[in-house]
Amino acid sequence: MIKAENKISQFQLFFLIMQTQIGIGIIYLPYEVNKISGSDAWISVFIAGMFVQIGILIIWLLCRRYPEQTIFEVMSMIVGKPIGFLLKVGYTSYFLLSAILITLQFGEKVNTWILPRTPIWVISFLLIAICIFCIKESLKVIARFFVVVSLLLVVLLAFTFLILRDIHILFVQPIGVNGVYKILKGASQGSFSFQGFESLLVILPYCLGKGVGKLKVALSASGFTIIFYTYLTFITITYFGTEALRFIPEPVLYIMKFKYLEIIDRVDLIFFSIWIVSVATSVMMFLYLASIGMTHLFGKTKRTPFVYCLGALTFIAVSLIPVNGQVIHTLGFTSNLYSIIFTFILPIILLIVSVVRRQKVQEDIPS
Amino acid sequence: MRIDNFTFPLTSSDNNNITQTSEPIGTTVFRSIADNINYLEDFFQQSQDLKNRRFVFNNKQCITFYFETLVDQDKLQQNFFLSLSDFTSKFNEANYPFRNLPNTTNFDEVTQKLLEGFSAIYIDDDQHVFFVETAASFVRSTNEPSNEKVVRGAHQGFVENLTINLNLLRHRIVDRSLYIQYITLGNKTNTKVALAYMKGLADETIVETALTRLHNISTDMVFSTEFLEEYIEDSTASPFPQMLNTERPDRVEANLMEGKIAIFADGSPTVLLIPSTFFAFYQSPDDYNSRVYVGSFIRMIRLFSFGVAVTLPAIYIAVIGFHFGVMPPQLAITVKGSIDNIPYPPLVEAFIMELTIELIREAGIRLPTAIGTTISIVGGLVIGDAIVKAGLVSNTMIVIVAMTAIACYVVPSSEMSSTVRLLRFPMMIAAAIFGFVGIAFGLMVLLIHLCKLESFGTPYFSPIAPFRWHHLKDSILRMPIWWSKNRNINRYTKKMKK
Repeated sequence: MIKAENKISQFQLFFLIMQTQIGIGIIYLPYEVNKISGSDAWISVFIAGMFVQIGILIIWLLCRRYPEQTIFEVMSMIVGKPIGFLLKVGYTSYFLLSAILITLQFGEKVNTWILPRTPIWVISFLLIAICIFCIKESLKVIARFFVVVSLLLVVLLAFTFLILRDIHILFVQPIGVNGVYKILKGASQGSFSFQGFESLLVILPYCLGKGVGKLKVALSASGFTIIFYTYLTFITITYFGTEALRFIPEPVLYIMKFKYLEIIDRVDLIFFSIWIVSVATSVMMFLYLASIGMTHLFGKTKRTPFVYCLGALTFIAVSLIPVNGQVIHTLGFTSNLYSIIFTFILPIILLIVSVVRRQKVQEDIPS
Repeated sequence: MRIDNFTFPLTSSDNNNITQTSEPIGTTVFRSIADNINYLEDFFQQSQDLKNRRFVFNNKQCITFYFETLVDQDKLQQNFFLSLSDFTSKFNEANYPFRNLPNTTNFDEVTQKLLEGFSAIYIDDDQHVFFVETAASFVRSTNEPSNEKVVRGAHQGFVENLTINLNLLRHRIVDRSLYIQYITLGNKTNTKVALAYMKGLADETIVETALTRLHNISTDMVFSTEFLEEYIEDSTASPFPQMLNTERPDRVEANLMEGKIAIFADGSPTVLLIPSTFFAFYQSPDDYNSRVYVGSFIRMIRLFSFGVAVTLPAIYIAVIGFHFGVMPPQLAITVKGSIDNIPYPPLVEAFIMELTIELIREAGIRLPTAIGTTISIVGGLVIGDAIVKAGLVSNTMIVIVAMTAIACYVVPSSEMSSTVRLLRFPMMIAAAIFGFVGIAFGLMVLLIHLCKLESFGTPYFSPIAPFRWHHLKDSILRMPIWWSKNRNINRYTKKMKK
């Protein structure tokens, strides 16, 4: 049972999901998807978002059967202790890997864009340190922080409105020229930017309120992310055109760099500084999930030692892995594979097993 | 030397009294006046300001003890001896002069009362000691606190006397739900501390917490409420003050009506208000005395000043050191011209100027006004102008530092102002090492800290974190007073109609 004063509100749940999803993808998502599905990339991103909505529905269906337990407690109940243990290891390592990957990409982007002479491990160290500082607190504090920094998204959006004058709708026409296969392939690539909704597996029981309300909140949070990413992809394609976009790995930043405001010359630097916060929130969430997993794995109640331990692990991993395109690509591929298994396939299997074995814990939340 | 009381004959009623009181009582007063005199004088170690006056009343030996340093001798004469002389002439049992006076047989109470400024009257062969209220108090008159001046509004301030302070409060809140609880703290100073709150508005759990924390204080002295603050606050490691300090009765009144708890201490004009949020430090009674637009505008200026004070020097250092491109070309040329001749990095430059300002401020505080003016001339003109001409600091840096310094003093609370002054130094160092990335990380640390800080169980950064839309009306803006239908009660579960 989770104590009522440690629970978060649905309002906070919205921002937790949104902030976890929005992160590293702001900068490179349009480039990645454009590589595959060309001028229809924005449709791909939207379709990817729809996949994610289905994923949320599955997770919700699974969690609804166990309203007071996190996935780590549920797994051993559904499939028994030995397999449950394996799955716990799997989920924890998946969350940890996501955190490591985001940290690596973050380090690389900061290194190329803003601090070329600072070594990547120093930047990763900063990021990990701040994550530890935040996630050693309870979910309530994390949620408060995520809500506050969501104000910054408004600033990010405001910056993108500046360029709406310069877009050319012709760049996305004719719509659907690349064919359904390429669009769907782009969608599968794009869906990884929506990673973070699987945090629902753990944080859904921490949220106050009834089941359907939580689903609505989760869907609308993810819906906001879908609209945000689709919008970003749309404006970058219409700004650069699909051909030019193939050579620009950080299109949003480039747009900002060319944009000249009266008082600020290089808007991209400001944009980048705000984006740092978005990335940090994503890493925080994944590390938090991993720390909960670790705590369950070792059957302890105190989470703080595991937070430090995971921070150290992430740091060691990040500083040992050489950062270049090849490595990040391989890691990204592994993570994508992992993510399909752990966010789509496993919840479905768990749901089916749970239904077949007719397990259900009654929801006893007073209305 | 203590003599056990049963060596003296006691009446049966006295015996009952002793056995009935379950608490451990100190020594009981002796019957014989000579013993009493000896004992009392020994107890106070023959302190030379303990005086006595002997007199005979009703054919009995009597003696009055008092501290001449605590007692108004005229009062003693007027209140006691004059009325006594009336009685001597027409004495009867019905108007026995002592019958209405407070009395005790407990020796501890006698010492207590003597130290509070009462005169104690011993009568031979009577175990009761009678008290006459003769305390003399020398307090300054109430005037406006110099560190919390307002343009419009009451110009009244608290003084160093607890009774007068509570009197000011009672005059402002004429209601039976204003509840005052006394606690005596400090093993040696025995300072009277008062907890004042509105029953029914204040959260009882917070009152409980405050009381437990106050009772757990183990100290010899309490010389001010700020001294207490450190004992009972939630996080001493935090740079942020977690209790609002004020010397203004109107501020205390307004806060009590919002369900806060005020802590008074004798000998200190400052009142602590708990629980406090970050935004309470940015409010001033002035806001409510001015028009809605003006009040809201001023509040936003103050919050903006927080941002400026914490980040402006850091942003300047980051821009100069890392991101010259952020400035528009014309500005970049001007700035470059001014910093070209400076021999050291912007961080050192900024530190020189910031430290100079701090020095001037610290030097100016305790000086008499006449010398204070000299300091400001030396500081303002000589350092400001000469330091640039000497090529030590650039012109732009002077502008930045001056703006920051002004922004620091916009905060209506002097403690928050010092906090803000401190916060910008780590921010400057972060900016000097990592540029904008450093500032982003620095602000994140600050924000996370604010999110997790709590004051007596109330989130410190409320209503921003946790986000409460309805409370924003009165914390960041100052909306019309009749707009807020519900009180901003500190616990969000509790809402009351105004």
